[in-house]
Amino acid sequence: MKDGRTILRVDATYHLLVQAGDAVRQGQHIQKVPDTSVPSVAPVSGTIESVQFDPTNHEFVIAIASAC
Amino acid sequence: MSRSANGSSLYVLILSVLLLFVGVRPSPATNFTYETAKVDPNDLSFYQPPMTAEPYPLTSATKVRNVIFCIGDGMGINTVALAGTKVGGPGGKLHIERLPITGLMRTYSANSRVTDSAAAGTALACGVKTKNGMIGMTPEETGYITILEAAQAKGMATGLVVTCTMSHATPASFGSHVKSRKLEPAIAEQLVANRINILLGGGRKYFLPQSDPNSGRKDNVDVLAQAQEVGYTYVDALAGLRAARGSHVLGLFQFDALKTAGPEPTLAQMTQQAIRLLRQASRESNRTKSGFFLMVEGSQIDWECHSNKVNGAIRQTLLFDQAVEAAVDFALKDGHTLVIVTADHETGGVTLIGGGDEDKPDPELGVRWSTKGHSGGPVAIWALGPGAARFSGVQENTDIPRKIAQLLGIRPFPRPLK
Repeated sequence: MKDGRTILRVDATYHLLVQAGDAVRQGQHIQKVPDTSVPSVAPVSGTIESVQFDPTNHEFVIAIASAC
Repeated sequence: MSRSANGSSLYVLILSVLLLFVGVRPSPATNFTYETAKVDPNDLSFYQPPMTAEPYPLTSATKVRNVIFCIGDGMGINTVALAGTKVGGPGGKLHIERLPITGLMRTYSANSRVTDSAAAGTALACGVKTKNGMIGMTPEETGYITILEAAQAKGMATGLVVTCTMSHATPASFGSHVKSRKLEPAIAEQLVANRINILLGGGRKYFLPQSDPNSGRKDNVDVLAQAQEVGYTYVDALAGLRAARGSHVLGLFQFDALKTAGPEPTLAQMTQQAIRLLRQASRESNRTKSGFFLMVEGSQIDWECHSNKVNGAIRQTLLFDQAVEAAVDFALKDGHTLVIVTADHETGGVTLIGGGDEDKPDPELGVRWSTKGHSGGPVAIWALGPGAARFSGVQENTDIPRKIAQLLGIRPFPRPLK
């Protein structure tokens, strides 16, 4: 997808394995989730544009610029 | 480069379709940003550091009449040290650090070494561990009475004071029972239905029906009107709070979380007014001198640490410290008030590596963040007043409300809801 951006929301409790500027592949783990919780994975391949904290939902909002 | 309105709409439409295709919830960036204080984060002139580093005095009194439970959300030991260093140099101390009894508290939840505020709040309120995200119940969904509810059942006046939405995870843990912290509209209803005497904070949107343009609800329940019908005095500004009388006061000073800047009341001002109102409510209750239980949360320390903002974390910690000072001032005069200060967990993995790190925004303090999430280590706990010594040593977070219950003569505790 050209010029596209995917927004992903993940629980802000846990440690992120990516930061803005990182390249990610579809299916790559993007958060270290301890114990019994389900890991979060990148839904698309691309570059992490931004990571912002949403206090209302206690989530990280991750913008991924999709690879061509 | 600007876009035309039509071009922008087409872009959003295409993006939405694509996002639905990949199974990801589209979330316009403008929907989640919270308004931080429009102040210079380096301006700490609002804060008066302690005149001395000496500990506050121990007390020989043994009877606990009132409890003020102060929780710094996400406030790790190094966050406190960082704030103290900022205002007083390497030996600088906050008011929090002058409380005479110190201990450590473990924070893990029922399903994770790293807790969230819902499970941590439930542990601190109910004395039981639960899964992250759950409020006031065990992992098996058995509701447990909170220390606030137990105090209320004993005849004590009760209150919650926060800088987040009134229905956010920590206050919710003391006055509601739901499967998920995300159910803020239901939590708002429960807080009012539970007749908690004093509710001060943000989150008016969850108290308004969906017909109101500022509502955060998806139904027509008007919790604000319900509260007023059952006797709450409603206020939405500092002047109204100062003038408020009566046994039940609901103060909602923003539609969303507080901005932690004027003209809304500060956490310390809300704490002072809550104490005044709770003393009145306590005196006017059927049982004379029945006392009160108040929970005060510095909610936004966590938020600044999630964003790894050094100056924001310091500012929020100092605002919380002001509230602790207000609680201590009252407790020292009263002589029968137990003040407990702790955190629900640490956020940011703050490490103090000293000066000389020129690449960092604040090289003088030399702060490193190891995560944008929470960390799983223990947090500090401080106490002052009758019974304070019971909070020394290393303890579980579930021990805290159990010890409070013992001191107040509440038993059995913990116990399931009837």
